[in-house]
Amino acid sequence: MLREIVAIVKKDLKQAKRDPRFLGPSLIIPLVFLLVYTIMWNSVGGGESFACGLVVIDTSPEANDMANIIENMVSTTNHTWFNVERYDIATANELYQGGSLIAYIVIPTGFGDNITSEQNATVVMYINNANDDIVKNYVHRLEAAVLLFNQGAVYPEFNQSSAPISIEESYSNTTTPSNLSYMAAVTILLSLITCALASQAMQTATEFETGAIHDTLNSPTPRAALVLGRTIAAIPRSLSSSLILIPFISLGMNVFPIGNLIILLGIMILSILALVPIGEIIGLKIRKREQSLLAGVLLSIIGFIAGGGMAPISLSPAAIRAVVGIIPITHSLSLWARVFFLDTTLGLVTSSLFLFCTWLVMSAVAVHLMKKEVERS
Amino acid sequence: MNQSIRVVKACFLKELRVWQRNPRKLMLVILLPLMFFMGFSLLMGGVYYGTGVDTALIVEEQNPGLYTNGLIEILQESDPIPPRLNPIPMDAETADALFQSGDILLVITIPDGFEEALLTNGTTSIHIQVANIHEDLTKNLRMPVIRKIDIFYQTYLLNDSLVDFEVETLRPFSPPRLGYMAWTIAIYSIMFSAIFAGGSAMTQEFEQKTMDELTLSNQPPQYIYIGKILSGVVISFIAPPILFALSYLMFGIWPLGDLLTFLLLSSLLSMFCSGIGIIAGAILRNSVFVVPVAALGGIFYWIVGGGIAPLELVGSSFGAFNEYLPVANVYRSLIRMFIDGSYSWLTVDAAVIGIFALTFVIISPLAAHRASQVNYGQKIQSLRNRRQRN
Repeated sequence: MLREIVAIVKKDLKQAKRDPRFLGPSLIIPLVFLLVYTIMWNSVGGGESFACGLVVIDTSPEANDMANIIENMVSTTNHTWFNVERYDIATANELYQGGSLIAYIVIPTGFGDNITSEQNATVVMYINNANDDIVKNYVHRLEAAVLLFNQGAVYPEFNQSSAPISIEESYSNTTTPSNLSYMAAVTILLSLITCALASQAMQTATEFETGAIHDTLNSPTPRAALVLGRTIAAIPRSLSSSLILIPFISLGMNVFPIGNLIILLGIMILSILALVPIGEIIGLKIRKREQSLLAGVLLSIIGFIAGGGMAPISLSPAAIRAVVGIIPITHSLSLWARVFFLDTTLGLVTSSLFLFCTWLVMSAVAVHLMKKEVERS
Repeated sequence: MNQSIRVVKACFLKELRVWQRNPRKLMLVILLPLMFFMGFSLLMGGVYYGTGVDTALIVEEQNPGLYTNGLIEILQESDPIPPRLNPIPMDAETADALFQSGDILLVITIPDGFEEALLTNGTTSIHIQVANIHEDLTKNLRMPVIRKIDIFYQTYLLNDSLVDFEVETLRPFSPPRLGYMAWTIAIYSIMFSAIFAGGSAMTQEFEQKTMDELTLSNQPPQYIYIGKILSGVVISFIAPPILFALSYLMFGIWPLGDLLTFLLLSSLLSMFCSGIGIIAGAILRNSVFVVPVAALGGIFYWIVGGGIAPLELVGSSFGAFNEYLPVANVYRSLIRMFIDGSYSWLTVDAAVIGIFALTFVIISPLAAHRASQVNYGQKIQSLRNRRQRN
């Protein structure tokens, strides 16, 4: 059986070498994702600086302090929360009503006088509430500014030590991975996922279209050896797509893994093992190259988005996480993101076991489908 | 009937029949945008729905009184601004173990002496541990805590909270983000389906080796390609009604504006994209490349056109860049119409996409015909062979 597996691996690798087009989707998809993300986050100042107008009508030092807080308070990745542009009230209102300015804050006349006379002073924010996420993000930012002012934590020190309640924060990672770094890291895995899923689906469907699948299935080779051989052949094939991307992404985006490289390689191999039999099943069921590829790409992209490729899914309720957890891509992504940015071996067992079990179950399903195909033919 | 119209009609009907014979392929074209929407709903829905973010709450204060209990109450209160917190009281050891294994992402500690400090006008602090595994996630974990502390200041520490804020929104109702995304994904689906259908109509001719028959059929090729473009336009309109219905079923909201404007802008967009599709299909000749080109080209413009969030968020420079892209124009006008029911940029945007659509309906058949006569793959291969021989 070992000899047969080796022969299948050699055959599949030769086929991959002859027709490297399988790399197309696995390179195009991650690069386009990365390009889109880079454009999007760079244009919003790294993901956290939201455009906002500021109208300071009051000329008191208190109003100046408040304006300085709004303009200069920063996120954990050292981006200012607001990308502020100052306007006079008429211009701000005109731009806002015309849809060119999404929000602006007004520090009204009497702001400083109210504070010195220990009365309430109010800052007003105007928001174009195109959706509730915009309202959430702007309200949170303004609320942070108001709290800082009330804590006496003004620019440039933002020192909360004299506040009745200050907030001491500590973090799990020494630096917060930016949205772009996270995306760059998971893009490497996306390439591998797409290659494992879509190229296997396409390869099996191509064998259906050329009729080669029936020769292979009707040969005396055990079907388990067939599935295993094809899965093993997919490991170097899928790794090759990631290997092309790794130097490009690491050097181009300045993103390097913090966790153990051997564990990261292990996660890659586990992911390939879990996904290749699924690709095999897609190919066996669909049998047409174009449709298999479309289904493979569809599953890769949707699994990537739903499984936390664009942002971790940790904030989702347990029920949603359970639903998304059915997809092996979710586990691959969670393991990858955890080890890439944190040098830890904690919290890896469940997802690793899930991927391993997926490999076994999906391989068994693929063997069963092959058996049915032989019976049918 | 004029011969050219007859050719366009015949080719158009033939392509629709091909789609009808391939229900699985048709299903995939419908499913991609739907699953795309479901994927985003699963990814982002968690912030807006459910019981809230599980948060370990450690109360070290030995003599909790008005302030400690008040803070705990505020932390536990439901909040109209997501993400909500779901504080789970636990001891420090359990919280630390859960935090280290990544099972809990936020730990809030109310220290001993908290009550005393506030009673005596002293200073104290609360400690928060945040799993900063991602910039946006970190923001979504920290901000609700900051908000809760601000509410605590405004409620219990009135002498220290002289500043508060008011929010004035442009319209009385804020559409849910996922509803907004369902509408924009409907525009994406038009773009994706049109490129894919146009591209697929070409690649199938190459893959089934029927291209020569078409070329030698003695019919003007440009009319054959126009038929293919029009079939792409029809296919692209299958998924949007399902997406609109889904957004209505899930969030109870329906986009504003009128159907005619939607049809005008989206059919021009569809024509433009279908034109691009047939050129891509003629050049690539292989569905392996057309699928990612269509899916990702669509995603690219969906994001830069304001599909995830309105472009006004990113400031003026990006908006100005986008104004010259025909796809972004359609997004802009349709998003404004869906949300406000207003048509402030409609004339400009319809003119821009109209010019592009018309140009591509004229140019694409010629370009696709030219491209179909040159096998770029073979040319590249022969160049490679020549280089190897040298």
